[in-house]
Amino acid sequence: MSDLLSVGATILLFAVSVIYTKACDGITKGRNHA
Amino acid sequence: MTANGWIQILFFFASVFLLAKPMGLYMCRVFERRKTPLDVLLRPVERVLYKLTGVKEDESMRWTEYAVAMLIFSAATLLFTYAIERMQAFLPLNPQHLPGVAPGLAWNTAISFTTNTNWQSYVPETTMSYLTQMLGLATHNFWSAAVGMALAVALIRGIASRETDRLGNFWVDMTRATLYILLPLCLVYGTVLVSQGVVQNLKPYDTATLVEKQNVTITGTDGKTSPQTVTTQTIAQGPVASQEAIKMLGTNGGGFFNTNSAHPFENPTPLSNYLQLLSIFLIPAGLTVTLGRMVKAPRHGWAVFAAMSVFFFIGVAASYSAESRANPLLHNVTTQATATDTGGNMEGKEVRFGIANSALFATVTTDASCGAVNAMHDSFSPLGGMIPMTNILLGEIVFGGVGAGMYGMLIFVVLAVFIAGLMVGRTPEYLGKKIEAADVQLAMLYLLIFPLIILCLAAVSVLSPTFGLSSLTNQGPHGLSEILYAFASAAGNNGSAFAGLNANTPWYNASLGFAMFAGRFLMIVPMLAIAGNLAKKKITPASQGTFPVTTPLFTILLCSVILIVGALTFFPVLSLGPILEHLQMHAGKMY
Repeated sequence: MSDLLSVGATILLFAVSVIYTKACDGITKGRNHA
Repeated sequence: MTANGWIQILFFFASVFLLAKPMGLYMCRVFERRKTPLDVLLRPVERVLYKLTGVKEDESMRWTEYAVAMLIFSAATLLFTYAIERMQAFLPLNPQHLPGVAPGLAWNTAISFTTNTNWQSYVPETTMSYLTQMLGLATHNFWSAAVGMALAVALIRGIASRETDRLGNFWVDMTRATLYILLPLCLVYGTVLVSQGVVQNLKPYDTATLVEKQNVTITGTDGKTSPQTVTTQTIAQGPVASQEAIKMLGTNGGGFFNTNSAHPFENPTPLSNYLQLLSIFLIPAGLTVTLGRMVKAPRHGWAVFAAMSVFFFIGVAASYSAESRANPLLHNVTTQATATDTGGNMEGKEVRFGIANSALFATVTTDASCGAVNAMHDSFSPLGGMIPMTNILLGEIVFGGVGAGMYGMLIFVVLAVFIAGLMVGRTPEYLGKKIEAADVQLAMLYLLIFPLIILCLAAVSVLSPTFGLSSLTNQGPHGLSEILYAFASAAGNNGSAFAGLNANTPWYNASLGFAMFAGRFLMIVPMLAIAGNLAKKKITPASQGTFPVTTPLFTILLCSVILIVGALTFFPVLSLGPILEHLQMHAGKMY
């Protein structure tokens, strides 16, 4: 693993977590289920 | 088992019980921003910090803002620690001239400390400089613990408040948890540890001349072996006490030395051992009282405390009982200690702590998400080793990690009241809040992510002879236990390990790093969403059909739900690991 990969993986994981937060917010608003 | 051992265990638990209320009430004052005795000293510091960082302390956040602030903070501090590890060779406070940490290991360690896991795929005293230990790792011990407390309090606020979409301010909660709770306690605690003999210095390592020369065989990089005579021993030093205090109090668990709390410089006396045990449970036990006070139902807090206590006693009794029995394949080892025989299973245990304190430590450190050890869990008997593993697999909700144990337990509470509602045919309610579809969906998301990470990654490792099994030194069910424990420990943010698995490989550094990340942040987000959703709801007055959450019946239901959901999820894999190993040991086979 290089430094670029480590930093890139970190940013990617946290960015996915922010999107995941938006998805969970959707569940609270009743958007993610029928 | 001996009466002496049980007296020590009961004395420990009585101390936790007695300290829970004062600790919980104090934390309540801190998070409700009421006056505390430390205001005279700390309030001006707090104000200056807000001024410098531009934090508006009266500004409350939506749950999504709270979550994103937590994620940004964690990402920034993770990269900060990674950079320190990589550059430690060029930074001060490196008297042993240790080189920079390799990228894969540095990433794994940075994630490990950011997520409060403190999984260590390295030998600290030969890998990390003093600066890295202090600025890169010990700081995370404070921050990750403060984040955990802030999150638990945000969930409690969500339960307690009505018709609002605000959960408090993440930066204020973090700052107050660190300034008013962790720092003062660690200052006193660290000083007491120094009085017991825990070292605290910045000296280069000492060298001692051996009384008796040792003849050893060295294996070179080319694989050739050569005999060598060893005449000296290096004795590692360092700023241990300051790190030890927050390591235990923040349920972090990452040792300054490789042998963690079995090392005489980390845990030198019976008193230091007792204090280390006590400090693991101090804040998590106090948070049950904080919960009761903040939701204005103190007896609910005690009902949760009771459920946690039930699991604690089952765990410690099972662990102590298993370790008190001798391995049936070792002849002439008795169960009872005699003048010439320690009795029971003493492999991997410090003689100064004995079986009772080793079993107690293993139970407490895995009830909470601490991960510090004073005995080697891999050397426990199959069933004795299954107890710490089961504690982690249950979600570490027995008092649990600082904050993490409380919010983990509250997810089970939501599920318990939902099931109770289904049983009586009414809309489930929790302290006047209706539990609806979204809450249960988010609770199930929280509960399913955990086994998904552990079982999938363990399965991939077990199925791969090249990158998974090649790291193992034990075969059969014990090898499976080692892999399962590693992923459970990572996803549960515990950090303790079954030795015998070399985790410093590209696969394990990456997969365990991901498990730690997912086990922390992918579980926190749905938990905060539940908090935000509950905060928006009205509080319905209790009626005759409301399921009371302050009674022994509630405690029994909660324990049952934890057992059904937590234990049964992992029973199949446990039966292939430690249970099979136990049966084979009695059939005459060891791994």
